Amino acid sequence: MTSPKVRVEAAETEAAAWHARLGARNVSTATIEEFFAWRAAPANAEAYRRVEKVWADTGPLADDPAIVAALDAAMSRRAGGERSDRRPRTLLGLAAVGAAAALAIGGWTWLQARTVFATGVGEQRLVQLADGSSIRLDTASRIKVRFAGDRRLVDLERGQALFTVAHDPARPFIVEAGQAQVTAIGTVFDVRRDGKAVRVTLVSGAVDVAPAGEGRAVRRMVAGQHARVTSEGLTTRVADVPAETSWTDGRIVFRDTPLRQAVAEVNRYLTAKIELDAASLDRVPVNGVFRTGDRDAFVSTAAQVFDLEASPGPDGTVRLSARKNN
Amino acid sequence: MRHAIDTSQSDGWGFEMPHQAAEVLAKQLVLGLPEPLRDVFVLSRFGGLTNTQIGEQLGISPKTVEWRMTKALAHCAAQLRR
Repeated sequence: MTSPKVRVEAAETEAAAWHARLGARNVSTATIEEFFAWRAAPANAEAYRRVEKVWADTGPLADDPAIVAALDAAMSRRAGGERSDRRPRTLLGLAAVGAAAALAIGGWTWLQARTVFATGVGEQRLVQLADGSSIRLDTASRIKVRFAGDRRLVDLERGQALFTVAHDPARPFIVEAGQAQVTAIGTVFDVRRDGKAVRVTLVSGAVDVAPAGEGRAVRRMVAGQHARVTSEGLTTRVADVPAETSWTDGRIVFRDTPLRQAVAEVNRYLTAKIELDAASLDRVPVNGVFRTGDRDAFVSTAAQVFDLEASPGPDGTVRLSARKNN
Repeated sequence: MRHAIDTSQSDGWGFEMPHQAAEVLAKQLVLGLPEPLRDVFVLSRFGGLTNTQIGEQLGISPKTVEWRMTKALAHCAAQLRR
């Protein structure tokens, strides 16, 4: 029962329902128009902002001990359930996705000829490989898969992918991504091409990363590490794994991300992009969680918080600019 | 001149709110939810499960999962009014 002290207003319930509805993979234009009409009422807009705030503020709690305990309790709610040993946190979601995909694809025959997989802007796709490995492709990405007797080779031609590699010490799993080569035996890692740089986030296990050319000095990464490979070489830092793999469940997480970079990140998922025209705010840090492809939520939040004006630009783009009369 | 605390930004979205305060409040809201709502919320938000998977885990229909998720979010959001 809810606390009698707190009256949950209808606006909050509607806002929460909208939040779920807009998070669906495909949202029709009619639905979005309906949402705008609903949100035109100031009380509804306020309620929606509060729902978004709850969503954003709970994001960083994934590793909080009390939250982990609550999740464990929820996972063991059914006594004797076969899932009682499943691990919580990020990997749980990934494992669930993998299992669901395996079920969905289980009946298919792997076609050797089919070796190129690609996604369009705003799309994601799970590719199940013959060896039991799976590759989750993010927006605007392309891979080429070449399996040989002694190695499993994947070319990340563009974009970003999360690799869940089936253990096979006899056949190392090698990802080539422009400047970098990542070698895994059995592990989960994310590779992203970002202009000329390549970024690798290791979720679990171990991988070897080597810059292309220059004698290929190999670096062994440990779980929770992030490596960036450029023409200057390779640097590593501690990874924010939930943030860097949040795209796999359709979210983008910003933690003290400069606004300009946040806009670029949101734009990766949009065909009609956001143009930021407020140079003084380029480096202002932002925090929050957005659904990939939810341009409206980002634009309205940024406009509200930084007092920017959102106006339509060419080809369906939206322009965020400083208010003239400030 | 002193810097005024800009409340118009902190109540808007949390971009500018100190992380700790916002997170602590959010945590209290989640943990304060009635158990049926809290289970669904944590499985969805932190477990990364789909509504169908949550339904299987808790032995309820996906529709019920959806409704409880809505109620959980609405409940937390309503408390931010005060």
